[in-house]
Amino acid sequence: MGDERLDAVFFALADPTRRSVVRRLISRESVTATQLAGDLPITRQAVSKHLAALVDAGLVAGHREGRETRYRLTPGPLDAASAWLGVIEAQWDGRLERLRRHVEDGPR
Amino acid sequence: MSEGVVTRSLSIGAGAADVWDALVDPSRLEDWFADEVDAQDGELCPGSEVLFRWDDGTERVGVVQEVDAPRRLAFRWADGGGEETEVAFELAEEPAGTRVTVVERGLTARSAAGRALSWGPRLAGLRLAACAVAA
Repeated sequence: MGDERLDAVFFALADPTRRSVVRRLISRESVTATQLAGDLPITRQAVSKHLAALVDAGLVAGHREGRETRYRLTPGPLDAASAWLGVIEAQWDGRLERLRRHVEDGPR
Repeated sequence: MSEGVVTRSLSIGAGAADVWDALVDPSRLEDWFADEVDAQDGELCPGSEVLFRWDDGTERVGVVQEVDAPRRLAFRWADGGGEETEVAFELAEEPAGTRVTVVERGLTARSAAGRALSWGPRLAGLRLAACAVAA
């Protein structure tokens, strides 16, 4: 996954409302914008904006069913974001390990 | 102290006027840049103060330096910790849209690493905001 795609994922996940939409979609098969507007303390228009950010990041996909669009989670980009965070975490572990050695052995 | 500079660039499939509007309209900045944007006089003009607030409690105060529509926006901003940096957005028309480049100067090495990570997602937000209008 390219940097730009990952940037879109982190932009989407930086917002608490969008994170709560993702959490809802983990426990439900799919939702409509109307259902989300009923669940969340935000307007239908705000729900649409948040869904657009999640769709842009590839985290959510919509498909039309009758008169409404149903949205479901497409978790591929979450795996990629998680793998990226894993690399950062490993770098920190390496730094902390060097710090531990430095502290235990004293400066040379 | 060596000066830390962070540069990020992104191609956006919208005209420069649409990108510019998402960049300088305080209410549109609230869609992608900060949770609350209060501009003195309601718009970004040279010398005006802008207060950026995020829901996690972070606040930054900016002073607009340059507004050259639809090409360049520059401001200086500072957090409570006293670090003041300069941020410049430059827009260049491309056949398929607009290339946006953001440069932040004056960072310490410590904050440069974090800022290198945060500008990418912010530009992704700007792209989304600009394309929502263009669509």
